[in-house]
Amino acid sequence: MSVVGHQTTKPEPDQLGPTFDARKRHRGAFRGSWLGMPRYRRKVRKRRKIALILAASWVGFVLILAITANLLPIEDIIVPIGRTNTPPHWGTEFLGLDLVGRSMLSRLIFGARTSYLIAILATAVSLAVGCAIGLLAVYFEGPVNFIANLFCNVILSIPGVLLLLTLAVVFKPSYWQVIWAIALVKLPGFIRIVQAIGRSEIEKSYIVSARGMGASSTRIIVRELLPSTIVSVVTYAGVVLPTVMLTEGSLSYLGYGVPAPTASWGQMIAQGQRDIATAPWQAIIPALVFAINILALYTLSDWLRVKVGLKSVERTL
Amino acid sequence: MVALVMLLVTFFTTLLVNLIPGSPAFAIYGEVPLSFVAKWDESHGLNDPIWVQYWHWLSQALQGNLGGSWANEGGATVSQLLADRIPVTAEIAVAALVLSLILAVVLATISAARPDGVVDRFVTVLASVAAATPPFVSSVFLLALLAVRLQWFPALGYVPIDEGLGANIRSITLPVITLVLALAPTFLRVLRGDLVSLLNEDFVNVARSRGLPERYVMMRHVLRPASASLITVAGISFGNLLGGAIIVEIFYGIPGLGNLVYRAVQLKDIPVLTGVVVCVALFFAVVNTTVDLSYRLLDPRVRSNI
Repeated sequence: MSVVGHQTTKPEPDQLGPTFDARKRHRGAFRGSWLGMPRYRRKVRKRRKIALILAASWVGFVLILAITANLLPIEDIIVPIGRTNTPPHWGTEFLGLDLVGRSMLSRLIFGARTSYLIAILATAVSLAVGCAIGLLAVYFEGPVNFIANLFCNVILSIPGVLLLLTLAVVFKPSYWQVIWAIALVKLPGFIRIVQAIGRSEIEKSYIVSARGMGASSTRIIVRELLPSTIVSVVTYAGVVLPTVMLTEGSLSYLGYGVPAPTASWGQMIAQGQRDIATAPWQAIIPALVFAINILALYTLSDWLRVKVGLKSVERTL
Repeated sequence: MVALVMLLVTFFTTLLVNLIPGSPAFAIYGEVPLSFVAKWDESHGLNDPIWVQYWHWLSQALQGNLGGSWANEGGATVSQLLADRIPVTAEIAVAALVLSLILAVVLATISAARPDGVVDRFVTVLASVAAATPPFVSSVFLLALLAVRLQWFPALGYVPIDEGLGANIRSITLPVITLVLALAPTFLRVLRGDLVSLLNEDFVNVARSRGLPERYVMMRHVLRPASASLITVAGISFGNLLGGAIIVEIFYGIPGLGNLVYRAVQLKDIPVLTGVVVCVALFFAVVNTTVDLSYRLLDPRVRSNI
């Protein structure tokens, strides 16, 4: 007879791992538990699941708003629609108007579009370029590897914000220049992870035999190395995405994000902060939205990292 | 490697001048006649090839002369500006670092003592919320609450230390809290994870069964090995600390390195920008070396290997 969750055979102690010790220590916690998982662990799991669902629905909601922003019945983001600094009011504009008299609600929604678009594109650019450089460095070793490492070290030698500000001397704010600048800052992380995984793969027999069969370098890189690294790299991209969004926020907060009439969260915070004594909601609302958004993305990226087993990769990388 | 990196970093910052659309003179002096710009470019060597410009800068820099600011000609040299600004940034950064470390150690010890307990859960949630709030966001809340609503601290400005210690501390409190909120969660996360796994180790149980007091076990057997990874994280977070300090300084109007960079970028004042970049990159290298060396102090195994 086998009931689901009831262990018929007693597992060996070493199969149980850490839970075995815990089981001895808090016997009470295991009463009524199944699969060797203590009750409080299940509670923790449930709590994590709720957080995950909340985070996913927030991100989904914001993404839907951002994609359908043009179709929504909201005010224009450039033309003022009322008195400047109108406080939030139910019925008319429930998030209020900014210092020019533009609708905060529509600027927030279009700001979401800017944030997500830039974050996704910058991550994608960084991923593509990082993969290319990393794989070339792994395959050709020697001087190519040295140059790739030098490149990483140069970028990492000063903090990201300082590097972006330095680049801001030359770039005229535009979508693509912001994307390239942020992608550049995030590049070392991608290069390093491709190198780390690629180095362990290149020794393996399938690549050695591909070489033995006379496959060309291009073929080995594209058909053998790339598929074996891509899963980890895409996961890493998911993990860095929130930090990319943070960087974009800081950049537009400093006034070097996308050019002016386009709405972006960082720039809304910077603008609202000037009148924080008289019209605090102008800074607090976008700040709150930004913080919740990052929190949701962090929750999702943590889940992704644990799921794929990329535990060693830290956000700081 | 470090020297090569430094050379490349400074070369690229010098290269920026040639990539600026138009002349920096427009950014500094506004609408000026073209003849003036041509003369200005010539006198600042901007028409020379990039190698000549870089060699000129490098030969001066190696003698400790980082040149003069373009925006404020005849005024302070770059070295003087740096000497003025660095102590301010250093004060804030060091205060934030020390406070974050203390906060992280205390909270991590309490929450690791009872994993998944009430305190642990509370602290973990708080830490992940704080980690999701970048400096420029958390400063909005702090400013709205502590400076505008409660009026405990001034919203803007910096009081030098020789105008009274109390006023000085009051003026840097908000920036320091903002930075601590950005730093402490990372430290806490790493330290808590380490402590929880270390407390399950055999040597901790042995120490306890020898009858050693819990406090001694914590300090000697648990916190000491855990501090190695904490120092690594502190070293890595140094970039975040300095980056955060730049934003925080701009937000609270504090005359430190961050504000200097911000002004220099607006005015396209390349010598100042290069000076700051050199300074920060050098400091980074020093921090990384110190982190490597401090492992030897903390972990005898590393000592014997080298």
